[in-house]
Amino acid sequence: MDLPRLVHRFRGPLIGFFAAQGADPREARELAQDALAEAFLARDRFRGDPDDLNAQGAWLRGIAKNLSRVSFRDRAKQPRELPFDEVVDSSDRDPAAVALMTERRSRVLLAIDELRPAWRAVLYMHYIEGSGLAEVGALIGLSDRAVEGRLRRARAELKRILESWEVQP
Amino acid sequence: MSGRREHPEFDDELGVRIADATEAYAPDPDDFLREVEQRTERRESSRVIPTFVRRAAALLPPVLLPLSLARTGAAATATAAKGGSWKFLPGVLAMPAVIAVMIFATFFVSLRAAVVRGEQRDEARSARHAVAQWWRRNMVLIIVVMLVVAFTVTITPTDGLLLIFGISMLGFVGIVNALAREGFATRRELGLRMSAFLFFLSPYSISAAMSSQDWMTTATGSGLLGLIAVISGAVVCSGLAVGFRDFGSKIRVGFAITAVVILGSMHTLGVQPLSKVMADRGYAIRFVEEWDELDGHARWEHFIGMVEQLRNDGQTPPQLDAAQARFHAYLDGLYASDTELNSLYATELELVGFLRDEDRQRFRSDYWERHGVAAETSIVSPRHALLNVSTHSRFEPYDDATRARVARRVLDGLRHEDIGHDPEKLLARAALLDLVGDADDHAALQTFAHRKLRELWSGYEGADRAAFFSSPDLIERDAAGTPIEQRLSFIWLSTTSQAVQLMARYGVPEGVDLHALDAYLTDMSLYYSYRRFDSNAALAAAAHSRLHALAEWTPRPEPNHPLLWWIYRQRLLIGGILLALFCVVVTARAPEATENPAAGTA
Repeated sequence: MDLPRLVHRFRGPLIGFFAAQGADPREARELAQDALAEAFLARDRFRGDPDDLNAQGAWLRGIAKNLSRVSFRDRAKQPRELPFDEVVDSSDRDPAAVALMTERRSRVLLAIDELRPAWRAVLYMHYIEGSGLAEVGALIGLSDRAVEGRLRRARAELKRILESWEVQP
Repeated sequence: MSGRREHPEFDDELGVRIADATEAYAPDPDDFLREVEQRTERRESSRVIPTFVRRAAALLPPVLLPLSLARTGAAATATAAKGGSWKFLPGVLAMPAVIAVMIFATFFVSLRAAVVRGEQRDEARSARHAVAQWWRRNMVLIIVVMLVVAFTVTITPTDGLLLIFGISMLGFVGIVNALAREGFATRRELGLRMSAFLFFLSPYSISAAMSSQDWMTTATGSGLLGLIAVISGAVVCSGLAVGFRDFGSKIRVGFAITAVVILGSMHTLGVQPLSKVMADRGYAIRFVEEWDELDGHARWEHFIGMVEQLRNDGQTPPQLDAAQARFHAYLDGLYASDTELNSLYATELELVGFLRDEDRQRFRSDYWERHGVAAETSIVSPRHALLNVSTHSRFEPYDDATRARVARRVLDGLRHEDIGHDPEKLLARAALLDLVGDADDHAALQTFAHRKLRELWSGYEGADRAAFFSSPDLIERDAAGTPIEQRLSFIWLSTTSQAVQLMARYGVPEGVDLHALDAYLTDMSLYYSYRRFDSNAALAAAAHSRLHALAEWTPRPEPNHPLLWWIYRQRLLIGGILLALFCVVVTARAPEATENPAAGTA
């Protein structure tokens, strides 16, 4: 099993997987690193074809699900910390622009949180790094077309939510 | 955004907004890969956790594990999922103790979630959620484990359960220990959980101590000492968890004094008064000479039994003048208040000769004198008949024909198997025959009494202890009808004491092991030292004394018990100490801080 290749393929989908469940950016990355390290360490027990994307995805899916099960045990029904501190350096920007940017990002993330979990997951998994639908599908056990369909529905619903918020006084 | 996107329609304005909003999650690819590589290198070089330990960790409830340990177990569940399923065995073995602890933990976290407010509320609710999830996720395994435990309990009620829980507890601590040694948890994390684990177990320690039959034979109350060991372990684990070593000397001394005061109070309030001491003949003598709670009519039977035994065991009999005077004063009080005394209680007093003639006049039955004396029917209620015959014949002695007729009716009553011929009724029939029968009548009753005593004897080949039951139907038997190990308690004490009286009169029937009977009466002679009078213990002591005066009694040879036997006898104490020590050692050996980046985040 080639670790750099495995990381390259599943880094984004894995981070998205954990982000969709409420992990903050640092935690989502750490969990993804844990999952990939664990998968690599346990490669002797991997029974599938090392080059088979779907087999690798299924292998990682089990690890990721179990990690999320214990990692989010303390997070039931807690509101998400909106993750802007890391990407918005307000020191050299116009405060009004920063506030507007933060506001726009907040709206999107809050709207994503309103989506059903399966839709939320594909949005994160795809958009965090622009990961391919095949990699996303391999991790969650769906075909490319199924992921594509789910993305379309998720986007449509997200758009509807954002528009409904924007027309509100 | 990555150039890998193969669906440009997803890169529209909405797509850009989503990517922008989630940008904080995107890592630097090189840094990310380096982190993964460092993780694998660190784990490969420094941590070789056996698969079975990691699998076991996957089964353990999150509230009992630091987050880092739980993550390890969770990841291992998936990576180890193919092949070698036997490696789940240690985790499964730990389940009984974990389930026991989780019952209390569930109650505790539910209560906490209901009462806490403010910032802790979300945390408490999360814990409740996690606990509920654990029950749901492992429901099948929990049901299977509980069925196995239930099956074991039906085979060996006490020891089987103790064995299962003992192995299970050590298994749990061992698993956590193995993980902790790999640097997956800090001492604080482990200590707090070990402490909670031991505290949650303490109710079961009490239950085990009180339900163990050997508990009754251990005057030191070793079960409760085991409990104290468990709680001491919890206290020490707490101390280690909160950084006991880092505190100033004043705090450490204060902590030690508090712990000593708490444990000392427990020992004083819990063990000393609750420890059992052995009642001897002197205790029984004191009971019959000083007992004055005459309103407790149910205890009269015990009192009479003790008097009978102590008068006939070949030693100095008790001085009963004061006791007799108390009973007379009690009866006079009843007469003054026009309160009737059940004739069965009057029979008890007549049996020991406590009734005065004026009492007998009151208890004489007009009905018996008009119809009973001349009746031809068999006597099915010998205790009622005894009072009637005794009071009547004292004032108007029977002629020989009447005596013979009443004696025949006494023996005819033996044909009625449905009325139940327990030792109490047989003793009443013997007393009746003393009044109206002859040696042949007694011989007939002796034959019957021996058969009944054999039927009521709960002993079997190799039994350590056995008693006489009030009905053969109450004795548990195997398919062949042979008695099996019984759960013996004070319930059978009166019957057993009366059986001893009966054997003193008619001899010991074949098959009755007096040493097993002796062991049962020894158990029953133990009483809590805070009680001034324990009628069960006093009765057992009196019966014990009478048993040793039987012609058939031979002293039990002093057994040469092997070391294992002594260990077995003190298993609750030893188990409690070992478990507590194990938890303390695990906590003490855990690192104060962990080098593992995944650890310490609980």
